[in-house]
Amino acid sequence: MIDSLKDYQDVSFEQGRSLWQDAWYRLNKNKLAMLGLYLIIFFVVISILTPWIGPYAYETQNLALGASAPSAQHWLGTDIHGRDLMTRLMYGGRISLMVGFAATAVSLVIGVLWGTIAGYVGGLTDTIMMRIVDILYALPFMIFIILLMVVFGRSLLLLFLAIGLIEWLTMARIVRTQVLSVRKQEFVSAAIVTGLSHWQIIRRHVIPNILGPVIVYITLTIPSVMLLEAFLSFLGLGIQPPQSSWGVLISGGVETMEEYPWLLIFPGLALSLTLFALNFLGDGLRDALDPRATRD
Amino acid sequence: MPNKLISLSFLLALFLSGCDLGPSNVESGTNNQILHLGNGTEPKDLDPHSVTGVPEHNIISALFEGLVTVNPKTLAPEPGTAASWVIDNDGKRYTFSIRDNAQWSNGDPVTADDFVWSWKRMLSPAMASEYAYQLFTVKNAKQFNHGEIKDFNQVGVKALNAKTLQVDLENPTPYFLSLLSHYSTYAVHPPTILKFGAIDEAGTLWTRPGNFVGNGPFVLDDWRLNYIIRVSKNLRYWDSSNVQLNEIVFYPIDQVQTEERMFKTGALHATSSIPVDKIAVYQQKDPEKISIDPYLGTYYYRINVNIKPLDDPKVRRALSMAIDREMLVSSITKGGQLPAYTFTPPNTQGYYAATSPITFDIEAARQLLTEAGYPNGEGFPEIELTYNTSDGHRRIAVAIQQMWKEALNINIRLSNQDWKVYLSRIQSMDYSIARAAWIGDYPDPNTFLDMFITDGGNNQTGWSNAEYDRLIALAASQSNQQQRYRTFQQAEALLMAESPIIPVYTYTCVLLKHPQLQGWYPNILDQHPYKYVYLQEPK
Repeated sequence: MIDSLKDYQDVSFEQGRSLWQDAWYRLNKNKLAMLGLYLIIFFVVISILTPWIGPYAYETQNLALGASAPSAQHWLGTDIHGRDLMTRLMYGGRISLMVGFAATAVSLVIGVLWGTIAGYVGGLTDTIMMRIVDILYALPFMIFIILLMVVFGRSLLLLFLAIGLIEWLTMARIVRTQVLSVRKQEFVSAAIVTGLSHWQIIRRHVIPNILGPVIVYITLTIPSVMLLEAFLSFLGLGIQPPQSSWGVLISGGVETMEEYPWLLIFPGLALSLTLFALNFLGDGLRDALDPRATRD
Repeated sequence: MPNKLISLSFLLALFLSGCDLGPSNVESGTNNQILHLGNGTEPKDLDPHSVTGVPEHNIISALFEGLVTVNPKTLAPEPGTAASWVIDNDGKRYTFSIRDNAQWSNGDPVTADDFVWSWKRMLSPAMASEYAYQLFTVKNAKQFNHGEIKDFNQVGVKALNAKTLQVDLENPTPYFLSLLSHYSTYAVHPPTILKFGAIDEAGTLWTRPGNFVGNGPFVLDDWRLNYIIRVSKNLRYWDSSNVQLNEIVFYPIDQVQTEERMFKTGALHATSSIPVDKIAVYQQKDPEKISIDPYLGTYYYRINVNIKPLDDPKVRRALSMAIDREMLVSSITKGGQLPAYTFTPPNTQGYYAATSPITFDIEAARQLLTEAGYPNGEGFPEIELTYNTSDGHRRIAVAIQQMWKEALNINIRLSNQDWKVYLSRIQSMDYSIARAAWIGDYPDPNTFLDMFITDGGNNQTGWSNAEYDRLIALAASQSNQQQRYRTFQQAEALLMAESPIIPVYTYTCVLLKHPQLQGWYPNILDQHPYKYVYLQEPK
């Protein structure tokens, strides 16, 4: 009796796992993706802690020293004004990562909302919404950004917003096509039959099914946003000296790559490592978040 | 996108240096006498009466010729469009005989009336030419330009007949002939100007290829924005048999790095400058390709004296004295430049400024700032430092920004602008502090010091000082060179005490040129009359 009772108690029902738990489980098994995740966390932590690490300030110059190769005092060398490159790289990471994540977040929110509504509602609403996207596409984005900067003045926040406002267009298109294909699937029809509201359908059935492509696109957006920031700074619309970002450091490094190669190599390395990490992570996340993938 | 352009041009440079794609510009240009020149930045216009820049000068001097031209080695005045001249009335009257065979590129003869008409255009108040003051040595020219005289016949320039021009000056002016080799005194072709606008209208279409008419050794062939300006030999030029070049192609390249790469791959015979980091490399590897020569020019910052807190001379002096110029020239510019504490470069035709009140003295600078009401920079607003987009200007600005931050605890915002935007912002006084440079137009301290007279076209700081105006006018009336220079010294001491400008360094002319470029002599104005230039493989 006792034994059988014990047996009975031991039989546990398999706990249902949410999409997120599943995803985390699968992601954990993907070594490259986890490496990417750790790298990104590492970069983020470093850039948050920058003001408290290291003996140098990012703007302190040592003109007499000038550009010097990596040494015991300056691990990554110094730039033309004798500023410690490592410190500048960490500060640059702050701005680059902030621009990358913030602008992408802006584009994500607008793009996903816009694309989902257009794709899900369909009909005339879809046509109108997508034509608006087309029109915005046709506007030269530089003029748009320059106008914003001229009207509202230069600020970091505005830079995030301006870049985000440009990057959401492609996101909206991708999301819309995905939603269109998901909406016609049987499980959505089934959900409608069971009487779920539109919002619930979008939340439970549509969005999880479009996460894959969206995440992949995010991992592409972040690097392109970082490069866009570098370009804007080059034109005098983004970050201004003595502040700096990875893109600015790289474009400065290109100018002197023959004489002072470390000024290009290290910022280049930082940016490409971040991009690799983001790509691996994005790849892993797409696999992990795919609701059609088998559960095991 | 410039970024992409840079990397593209770099890839292209790599590609070109690796593969044999036929003769380079330098080789084919040398065979065909086609000169390829880097020219810094896209010119604002090619109208000699409405431009002020050096890039414009380089092109205009190919397209026009003044009454007088310069010796390519010594810069001494030589007959140009005028075959000869007579000076009398104690140096106050010049009578020029214009060459019989001087003609415009459309075949019309160049007449004395053309010069009278052109000077009227230059001096017209509505033309608003920054360089109008160049002609203020001419009798009543200033009054006409300021609208006090309406009748141009009262101005001291007159056509005695079709080929004789008589000019009366206010004072005997020792540098007057040198002035006449400057583009602001050139003649333009009246019917061409009138075809596209009024006499006193700037920026009309007459300077476009096809419309353009000039009297120089070359004529405008092609002008593609931000790409090239091509000029070809003008067969109607009076001395065209002595012009050896067939064509000159000017490349507007803002990026000195790009220019250097183009030079290296043989796309340019000479550059307009060189990236500072490359100076040492060339000196070591290709010393025959780099030339560093004295240059009559000053790199400086203008201050807008109309806005607070820069309206206080103490603040301006404090800013000026907190700059470590020795460090700047030795660590940033690295081209043999001299730190400048006065505006006029040393030994400008024998002139040296008196001891300047500006030195590098951080303590004194702090003291001045405290006296002005900003102890330790407290309460000092953030001001903007504007410069035209260039890596070299940015480096200097970044260094000075930090010097001011450390010495005076004040914050400067840097803002870079495209050349044309930069020029128009300076002109409309829409700036606080702005990078500037002044290259002498003729070898005399007057070309530096008369800029800052009240409402001078190139003053553009808002600074006005009656005593300074008086001294400059006094110098103009003095014929004894020593007396004159003493007056200039007084004026300059006053200028530096008031500091509407911050001199940074005295230029040197650092550029790259291939040995094929001949007849190109170093001189302190970096002027190279193209009719003496030719291309030849070195023996």
